[in-house]
Amino acid sequence: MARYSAADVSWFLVAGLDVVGTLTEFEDNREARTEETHTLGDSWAEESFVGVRQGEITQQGFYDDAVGSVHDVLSSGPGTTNILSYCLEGTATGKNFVGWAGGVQVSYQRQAVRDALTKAKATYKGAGPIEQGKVLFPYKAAGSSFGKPSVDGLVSSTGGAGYLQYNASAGECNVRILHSSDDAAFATLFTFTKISSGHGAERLTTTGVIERYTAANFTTASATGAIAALNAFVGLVRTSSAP
Amino acid sequence: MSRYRVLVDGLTYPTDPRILRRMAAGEQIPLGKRGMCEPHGVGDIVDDLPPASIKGLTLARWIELVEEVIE
Repeated sequence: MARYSAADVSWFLVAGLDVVGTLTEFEDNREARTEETHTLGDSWAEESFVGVRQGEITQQGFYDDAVGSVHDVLSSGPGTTNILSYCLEGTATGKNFVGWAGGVQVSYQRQAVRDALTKAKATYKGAGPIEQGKVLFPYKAAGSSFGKPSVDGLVSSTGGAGYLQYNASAGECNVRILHSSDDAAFATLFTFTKISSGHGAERLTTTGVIERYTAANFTTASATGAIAALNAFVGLVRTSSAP
Repeated sequence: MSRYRVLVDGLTYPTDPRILRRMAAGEQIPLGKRGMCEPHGVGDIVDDLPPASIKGLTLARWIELVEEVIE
């Protein structure tokens, strides 16, 4: 068992943009929807789970209108749904990450106060699964190389989801998730939509077998040459599991 | 060496005998330093698979035997 702090949160990704540098706190809440099921004759209230879970994130920090920063991300909402990804337990390859298949931005507040820097605050509500997976490639400059270190996990026969978040200034790049039973011969598990300049995120799912070893793979698209300044995160969820 | 048909997309593996010997000895080598071959697509015929991987790949239906060569 280990304890963690804010220093272990190295990025908070919304549609490929990292806003952690402006945040001072965020909370992720998950709760189960219930219905009161006590009846006449009961002397205690009774709640029963109705089979639906929901999540909400509140983020708070400094207002920053730089390109790619928090205002850039949030000003297009509320109402916008984005893929969200973050880690609470460190961000190295193989660490746990949390992926939101969809987070609807329901509010964006800017707050100017006397004798203080202007703050920004936003809230998201879940629009789809909230999952925990393993980091295959932490959010950083990807470069172009054949493969990254592989991550050893348990074989899953019921599928899972692959996450990609990226921000690139120019060029094109192909990103895949590979899997292998012996850490020697790998095949493609997921092929994400080819990245071009700009930022974005994608979540792909499979219901098939995911082998024991998995890795992220970046190759430049030859038509346009190497991608410039690509920052990317790749993660894998084995079966849909709540964090 | 025997020839196999690839049944999955993007099959790739190390082909350098020195790398394979180091891996067989239990050495952990990052993917990027294994000299992996260019990915093969469905239907490609290959004859340079790592010997230790062939059984597992066959069982997983990632490859199928096309021509067996007894050496």
